[in-house]
Amino acid sequence: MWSYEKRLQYPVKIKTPNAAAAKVIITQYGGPDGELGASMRYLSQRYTMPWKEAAGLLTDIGTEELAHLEIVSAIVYQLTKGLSVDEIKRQGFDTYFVDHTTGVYPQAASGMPWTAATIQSKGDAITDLHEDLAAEQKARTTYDNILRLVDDPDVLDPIRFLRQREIVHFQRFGEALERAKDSLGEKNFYAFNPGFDCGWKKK
Amino acid sequence: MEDRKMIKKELAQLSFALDDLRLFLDTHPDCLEALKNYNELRCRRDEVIKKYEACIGPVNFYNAGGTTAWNWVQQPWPWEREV
Repeated sequence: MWSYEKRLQYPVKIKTPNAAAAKVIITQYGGPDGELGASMRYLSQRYTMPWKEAAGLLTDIGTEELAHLEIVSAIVYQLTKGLSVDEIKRQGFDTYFVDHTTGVYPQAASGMPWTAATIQSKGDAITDLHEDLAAEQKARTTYDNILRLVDDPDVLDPIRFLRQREIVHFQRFGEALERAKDSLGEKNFYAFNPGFDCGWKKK
Repeated sequence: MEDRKMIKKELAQLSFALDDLRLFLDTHPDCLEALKNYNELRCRRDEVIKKYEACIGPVNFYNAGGTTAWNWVQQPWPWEREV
């Protein structure tokens, strides 16, 4: 289903390299609450979503998160381009550098490689949508934390954009959850799992 | 020949407006006002795409090609620091 357009969703134009900033920002690429996890979570959950609008939302937000992991990677790439070995040592980037040079690798700020262990695709619409609401807040908080740690306006600009998108995604997932609960019946939306139990008509 | 920077900016803005509206329509598929907006923005974006592809290069690889060289890889990749 994927073709792509040869452009970033939001521009990244960083003039000053900074390995220390790259070290923390990389967590939104391969970290526990980062964009790679977000996209894999939504793109995995969409198959068992019983409603086509919700499946559409998960596909569309999952796709946007792929565009976001690309923006985060572009930020890390530009922040580490043209660094001297001396800067790498002084800015505490040597442990990353020894394994990856200035390659972009999906890991958390801690150095832990990306893992699907921090995402869930539970095959239950109500559960999955709650997971998604939490995911967007975790991502938003991570961006809040990045904004506290970074000064460069060239970096703050795309980071603020990404943070704002998390808030919008949260809003949309909330709406999808309300629609799901309405569809299942206000009396008992836990009565059965519409993604699994037979006899429930897909709308 | 219009300013390349302007065309890029226009494309980014119109595309983002559609991205945002698309998500809204996914949870409000019956909202006629949003639908109308989406259709209008799409028309405007189609015009900008034509200008972009004429002045700069292809945006989508289904529209790439070229006569003497594969034009898809000629422009810098979007993650490069823009000069």
